[in-house]
Amino acid sequence: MVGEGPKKREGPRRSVPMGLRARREGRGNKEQRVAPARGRRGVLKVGGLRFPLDRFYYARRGAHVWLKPERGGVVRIGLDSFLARTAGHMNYIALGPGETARQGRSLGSFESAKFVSRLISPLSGRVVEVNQKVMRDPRLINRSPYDAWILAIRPERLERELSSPDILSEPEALKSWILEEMRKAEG
Amino acid sequence: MSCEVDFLLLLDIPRMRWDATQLVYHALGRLGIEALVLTRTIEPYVCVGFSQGISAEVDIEYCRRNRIGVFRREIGGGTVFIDKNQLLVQLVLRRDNPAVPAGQNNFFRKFLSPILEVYRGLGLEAELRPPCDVLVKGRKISGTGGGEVGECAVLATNLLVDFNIDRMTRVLRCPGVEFRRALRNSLERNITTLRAELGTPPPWSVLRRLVREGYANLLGALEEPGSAPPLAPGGTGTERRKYRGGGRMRGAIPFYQIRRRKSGEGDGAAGGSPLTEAIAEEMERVRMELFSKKWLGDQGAKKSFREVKVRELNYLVQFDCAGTELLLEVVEGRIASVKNLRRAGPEGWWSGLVGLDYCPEEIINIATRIAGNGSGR
Repeated sequence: MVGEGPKKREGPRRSVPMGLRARREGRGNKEQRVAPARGRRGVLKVGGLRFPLDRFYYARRGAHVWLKPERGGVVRIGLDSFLARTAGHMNYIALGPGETARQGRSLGSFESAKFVSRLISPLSGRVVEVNQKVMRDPRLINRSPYDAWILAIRPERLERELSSPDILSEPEALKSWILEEMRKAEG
Repeated sequence: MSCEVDFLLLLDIPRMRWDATQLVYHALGRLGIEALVLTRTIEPYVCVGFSQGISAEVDIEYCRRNRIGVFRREIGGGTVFIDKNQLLVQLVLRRDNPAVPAGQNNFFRKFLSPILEVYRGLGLEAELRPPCDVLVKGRKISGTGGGEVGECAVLATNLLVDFNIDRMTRVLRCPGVEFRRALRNSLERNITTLRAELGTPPPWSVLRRLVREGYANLLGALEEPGSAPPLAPGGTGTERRKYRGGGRMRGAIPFYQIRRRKSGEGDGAAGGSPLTEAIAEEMERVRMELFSKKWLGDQGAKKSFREVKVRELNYLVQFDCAGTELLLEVVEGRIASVKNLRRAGPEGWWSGLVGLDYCPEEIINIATRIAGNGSGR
């Protein structure tokens, strides 16, 4: 995305929803296990755009990345419907060479409508899987942004990073962010 | 319009080495310096976009033989042939500048508006074909790409004063003679220039002034530059060498600042940051990166067919699949003509493609399906 998202939001920091608290499995197992969001169903509709509430949204720097914790301790990452609509046709995604992801840092770049944007990582951790189908056909993101995950990360400090004010999940916060983004897009 | 920065650095550099014309905005973006760059290249070169692979796009052997540089930029858009007859305009703004709108289309619409005004000021009916082609009477007169470089958003465009279609046709990789011939015809139909439209193009100094004024009007209250150094090539040989030095641009580089009036602060002292050692050094760092084998050898988005986008919605495409070699011309997003280079005459299933919306995957599917059915006609 070109412009940034809103500046840091004020107010109390959110607590991590219970269903997403990391659980360690067994002594010495360093993998974090995160239960999928429970009771977080439904879709937020804003300005004709859909935002499923079973996942989080990373709003920093206009990233428009969604992240969805899955069983097995990985988090799938993709681009949201706002970006899928405003960015135009996706025609290329290039991921960086490393396997390490850092929250707020670039994971790679994508080109849409003759503009190259950064794919910003919402979490720190290790990239464990890349969706080759989307890499081959990035327009899947335009067609179905919430199915077209780009990569999966095994997070290092999920709980802490999910509590970042840049990560949104509550409908009210999500709605006001999207409205602000729409306002910015209208210039 | 309020801006978070005190000034926009203007680098109005008459001529630069070909590689420097690209390295400069990459360096400014990485350094987070907001700037407007106006320049021309001394030597011709080919520049492919971020999503493209040089080997797929460019006739490398031809370029090598003719000493034509080849570059792969970090920002978007397609392959361009750049020579001294184009005014290159590059705008670098920090992404957190409130003047930068969200969304690519908005970004292009806003920051190409001064370019449209330049053409209109010259009496041409210029229009924007989204996302970022500037057309006059349906023909492209400015090509543009954009992208994030460092913490900045970059717009890189050009004003075509003249254009060497023969050279453009020659530097692009073509799968065959027919494709090259069709490409040349298509470029002639789809590209225009100030010379073609006006007969006599305006002097470079006028064009530069119009562009400067356009961006000044858009980006804030400006002061007229008062101390722009003499600009080569009219200067001394030493000056020219200095300005042309793509590698090391040291010393008194021509620049001036566009000052923004801050509310309640009168004219505001802009302070000042010339094209410093820091920019020159950053250009060297960028050079190491963007001239590395790894970067230049990147294949980009691989395609099983050859496609040249002549302008927005107009393509020339060659498919080599399922026993056919189809040469398609796409006009306004629809297939306007199809020729099977392996079989003379208009007959065959491929003629049924004419009039359809252009969708490469669909064409490949159709060809494969028909070949599987054993129906080649």
